Amino acid sequence: MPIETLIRMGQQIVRNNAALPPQRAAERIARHLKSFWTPGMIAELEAYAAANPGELGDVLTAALGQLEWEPRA
Amino acid sequence: MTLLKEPDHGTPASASDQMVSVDIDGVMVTVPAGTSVMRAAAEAGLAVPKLCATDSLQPFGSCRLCLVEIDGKKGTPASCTTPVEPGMVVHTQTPRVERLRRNVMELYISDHPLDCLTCPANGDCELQDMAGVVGLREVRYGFAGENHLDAPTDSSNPYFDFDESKCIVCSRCVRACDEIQGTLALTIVGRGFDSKVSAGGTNFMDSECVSCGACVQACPTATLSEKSVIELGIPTRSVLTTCAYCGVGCSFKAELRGDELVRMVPHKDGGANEGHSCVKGRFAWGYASHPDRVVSPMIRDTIADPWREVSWEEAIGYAARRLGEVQETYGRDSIGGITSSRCTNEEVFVVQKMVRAAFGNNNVDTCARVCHSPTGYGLKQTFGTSAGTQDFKSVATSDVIVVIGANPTDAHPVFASRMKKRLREGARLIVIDPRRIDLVRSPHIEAQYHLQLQPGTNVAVVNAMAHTIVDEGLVNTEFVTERCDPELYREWEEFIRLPENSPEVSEQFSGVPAADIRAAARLYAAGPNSAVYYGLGVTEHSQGSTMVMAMANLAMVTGNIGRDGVGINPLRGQNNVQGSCDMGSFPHEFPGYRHVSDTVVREQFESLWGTMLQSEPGLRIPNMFDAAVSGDFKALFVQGEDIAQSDPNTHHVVAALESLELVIVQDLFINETAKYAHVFLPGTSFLEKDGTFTNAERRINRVRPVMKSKIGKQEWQVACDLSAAMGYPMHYNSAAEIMDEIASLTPTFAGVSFALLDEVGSVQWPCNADNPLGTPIMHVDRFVRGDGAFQLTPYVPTDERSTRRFPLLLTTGRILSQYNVGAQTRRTANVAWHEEDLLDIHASDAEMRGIADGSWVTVASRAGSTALRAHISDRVPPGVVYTTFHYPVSGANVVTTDNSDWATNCPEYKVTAVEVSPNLRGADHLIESAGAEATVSR
Repeated sequence: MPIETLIRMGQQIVRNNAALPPQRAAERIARHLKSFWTPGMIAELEAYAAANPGELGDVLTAALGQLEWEPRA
Repeated sequence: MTLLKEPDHGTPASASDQMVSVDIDGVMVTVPAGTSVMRAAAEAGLAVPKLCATDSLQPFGSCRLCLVEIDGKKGTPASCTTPVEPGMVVHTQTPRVERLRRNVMELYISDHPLDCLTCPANGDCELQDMAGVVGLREVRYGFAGENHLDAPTDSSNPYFDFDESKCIVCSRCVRACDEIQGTLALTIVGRGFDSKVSAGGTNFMDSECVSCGACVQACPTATLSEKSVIELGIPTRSVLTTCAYCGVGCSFKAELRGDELVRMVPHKDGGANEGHSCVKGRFAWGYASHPDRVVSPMIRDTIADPWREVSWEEAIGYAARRLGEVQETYGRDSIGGITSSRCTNEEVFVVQKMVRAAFGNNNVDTCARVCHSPTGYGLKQTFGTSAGTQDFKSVATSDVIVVIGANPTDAHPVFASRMKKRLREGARLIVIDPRRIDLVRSPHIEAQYHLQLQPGTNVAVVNAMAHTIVDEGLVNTEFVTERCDPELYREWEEFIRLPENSPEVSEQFSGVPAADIRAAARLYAAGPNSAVYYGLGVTEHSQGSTMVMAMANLAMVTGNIGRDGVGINPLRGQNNVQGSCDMGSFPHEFPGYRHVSDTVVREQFESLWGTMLQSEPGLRIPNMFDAAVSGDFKALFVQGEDIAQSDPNTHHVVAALESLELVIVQDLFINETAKYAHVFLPGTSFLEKDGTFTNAERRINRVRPVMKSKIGKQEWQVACDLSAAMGYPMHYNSAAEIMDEIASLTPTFAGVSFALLDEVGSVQWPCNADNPLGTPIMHVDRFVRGDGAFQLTPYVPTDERSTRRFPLLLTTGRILSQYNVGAQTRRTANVAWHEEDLLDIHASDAEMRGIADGSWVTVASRAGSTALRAHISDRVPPGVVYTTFHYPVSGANVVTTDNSDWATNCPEYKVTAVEVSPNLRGADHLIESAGAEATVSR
């Protein structure tokens, strides 16, 4: 999928969870991505985050970081 | 079955719990207090002659045919308007009342055509019946006096005639329009002998009449008759089934002569509609037999090739082979399917099963993605289940009704009639909508508050209402304490008290005066029974899911959940939106809204289906389009949905379809999407289907075949055949067997079977051992998730804002006579009311641009442009324009963008920044969409 689309979707999710404290926002966003995104979509965004440190912002980066610890089926 | 005639008790049932016993013709009858003598007699099996009375209408007492004698009372009171009293002794058949009835009937017949043998209502005429019942043998007055026998017939309506010469002026039609439909289009004009029914002084077509058919159904003579009955004759048998238009899910008696469908008559025992209908369900069913129907499978190697008609075997084999080739080349996840909310639960279930088991992935989504997916998300987060909370009847006990982003009188007209009835009884109304919908002010109804917000600011307004409730001490503390998660409430209260959520700040975004928001919030909180009804004006936004949660917060903080008259109620757009979601059409959920990663649940499906299933979510529809354009997604099965017309940003959708190596479309007609298809599999209309639909109130209704399948099989069999051809056999002997499998795998459907539905009519899920006859109202003692979960709902403005280049905001909607992309209604006489989509624009915006009413305009957004004719209207405020999307040529979705809801990717249809300019090219106009253009002639 176009990475621009994934970034836009990710940042939109962050903005809509911005009322939560950052750590809880990251946890919730991680759960959201895990629940609704395909592994491929997550992997593409993770790859972008890895290649472009800091570009996705702290909360989304933290959310993706939490996903790394979750086992994939 | 033979022709089904429901009993008519003459007057409505009384709801009193006090019982009264009376003696009628020597028979003791015990009935609720307030029951009429006529109804009490009917319940005892003692029919009193009647003409102006029918139990769907309040008693009127005009025909004087139902006179009775009552011991101790003077005269001969009308039994329809006389309530029972304890110890009353009634005589319905005495020489005196029999003589009076014959006299009354003589007067009627002296001014009535004596053409019974050639009358279209012969055999279905209450006047004819009553003449026999009262023993009419002569008409002493003759027929030569002044009369109405030459009165004209109004044939202006495409579906029914009004033959004034046969009218007995019983007012049943007028009262049906008033009491049932609530349009008040009909009246009695003139006095005395000159009294007559009038559609407001004009013909029916030019009047306020909405063609719901209530007057036709109420008419006891042939005065108001369906044209189809006049042409074909009185039907001889009935099949009970369910309408396939909106999410109200009305029950109908399909009435036939032999195999020919004559008319659709709303079923009195239908739980959703209780005998009422709208112009679509009642009359607009002719598309099922339209010559455009494609009934043979077709294939082609490329979309540039002509279609080639083939056998089912060849089409299925071809589709299966090519799906397999795509997967072999591009991988298991390169294919997917879309289910349809117009199809039955059983058809949807087998398609999602085919995707999960035969395709081997979770790339299955439903067209509900583009309408009510935020409802599923939001209500699950807050209440624990993805469905509305009430039954439709609940509105009858609401004190305050909030309508948000919905236009029920056009889009859900039968429910709107229930709502209007309650409003006429005194319930108060808050409308939150950028447009002045009919409910804001219509006969005998006026909204207390119309919060005419800027498109895209729903969350700001509802947060401000919640802020007011907390700020002004209007919280239902008892409910919150007993029913909701305390920590989540504490966090939410802190959030909602923030100044940014105040009405005063909200006003800056929404344009709604803070005082109005505060007043509306107070009204909602005061209730005591306050209910929210909402539509796509809530969900089809970038914050659709947030808005659903914000409304749920509002209901919880005021305790408006878990009883009659309250709740959060999505008005679903299509007939089976609820069902298609229930059936596991979403890429992350199995049937019953269980996540695919839930090992216990997945193993149940794997065990029964005998195959391994994927544990990760698949692609949603917008993801499929994006993945197609980028080359990762290569084949798509589309069940009964026209994504090329109905999904936003047409250019992007077309680009996606053109990128696919294989598109399989199953539909009634060659739709816009089929232009990009390689395999066309014919589908069945609702009149051919055998299965169930689930409406917006979670009511599971039977859909029974009225006519033979025009494609030679049931639609679910096609998916089974395709699955089998791909190596995963699915075999069912009947749709009932599919429902049995659904019930075995889905806890909320555990008690559902065709046998049960045939016995009780319908049930609302959850239907299981705890609730064997279903659950009309949810969350009564506790929320499905346990404690109600307040959610933080920050207002995040949409990216789609008016700019200097695109200064207006376009919003879209549906009109009464048409339905969605119009595939069905455009193929009926309903085009008489709406033959093209128009652009509503405020006079000030039009004048500024030199646009005249009726002139052609170009509507341009950053996604594309199209041409429509302008309609100057004060229903929209300055800065907002509005159109419908019923005609492909209008290209409304060429203009809409690919913005979507943050949580569900439901498209933001309701907010598109546009500019409108005069279009001098007129009818041969240009649809342009970012790099592609096509000339379209109307």
